[in-house]
Amino acid sequence: MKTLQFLIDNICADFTVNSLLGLVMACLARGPSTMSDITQTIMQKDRSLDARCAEGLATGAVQALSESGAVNVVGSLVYATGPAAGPL
Amino acid sequence: MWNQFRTDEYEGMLAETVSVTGYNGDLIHTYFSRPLGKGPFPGIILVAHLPGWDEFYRETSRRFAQHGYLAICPDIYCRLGHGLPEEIAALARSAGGVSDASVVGDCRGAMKYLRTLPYCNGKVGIIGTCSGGRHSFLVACRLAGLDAAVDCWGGRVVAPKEELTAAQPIAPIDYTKDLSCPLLGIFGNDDQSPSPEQVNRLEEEIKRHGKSYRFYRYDGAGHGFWYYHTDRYRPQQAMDAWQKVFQFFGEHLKR
Repeated sequence: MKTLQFLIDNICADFTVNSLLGLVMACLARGPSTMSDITQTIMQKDRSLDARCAEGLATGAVQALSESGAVNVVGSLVYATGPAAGPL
Repeated sequence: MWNQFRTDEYEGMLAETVSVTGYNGDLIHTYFSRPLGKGPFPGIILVAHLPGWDEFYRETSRRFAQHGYLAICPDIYCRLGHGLPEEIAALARSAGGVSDASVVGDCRGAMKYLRTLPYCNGKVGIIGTCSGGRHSFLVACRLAGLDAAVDCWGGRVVAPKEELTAAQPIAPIDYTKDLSCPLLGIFGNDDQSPSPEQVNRLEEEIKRHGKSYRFYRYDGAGHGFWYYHTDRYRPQQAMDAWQKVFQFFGEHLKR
């Protein structure tokens, strides 16, 4: 989480750690997503971000969620864990 | 200071876009706010953060004007084009940020402009938040003639070699010996850029060079805790820090 906090603070993105993770989980609640989908979702929320910054946040958020067991990454897709969340 | 005005006092303000000559002789936009009246008033340069030359900085400029300062906020992103602040900020991020040289040049132009005004008392300070905090510290080191500087949670003032770029080739901390005016630092202890360790490192360097400074570190606050338009806002810490800023600028610019 400290790394994700650093990523957010370092670029002054308009997120807290919780709001970023919540945004990613909301994206995944609509179905499995690619990193590109998540990046786009982040860019739509904070339009001051460019693709590189948003991709960094997406990667950091998915990693944090993966470590907590909230998501699984299978190939190019990210799934929320839990009932009817994915194929695993 | 906050809420310290008489209710029968005359008050007026003008805020508008003004063009000044910036870095490389370029004409750049600034947002300029000033109290009405003959003054003389001290000046403050506001350096916008990376979310852009935005509404927060316009409102902050007017806050300083409300408190008796000529507040000028140069559009340091002017050369990237024009559009919504967030669109230009995205372009700036994509370009790796604006160059340190251009920010110093734009602030030099803003300082010169302030000093030409007949209602300026000749004293000029600088303040910035986030990347603007970094720039504020940098400009206070690179530009002679400033009377006070405020660095609000400037990230990457302390930067390892791998974070340096052609546009930002030297970590501002390495210019500390050239810091030319008193410095106020405002930081949140939950911030990770700058981290508390980096703030300590900067303080050590400032002490080593015998510079005049005051640092305030706030518990329960992280990066951007003045930003009332975001979830980062921490009202108690923010208002206390604002008091510190007004006190600091009052001591160095109004006397």
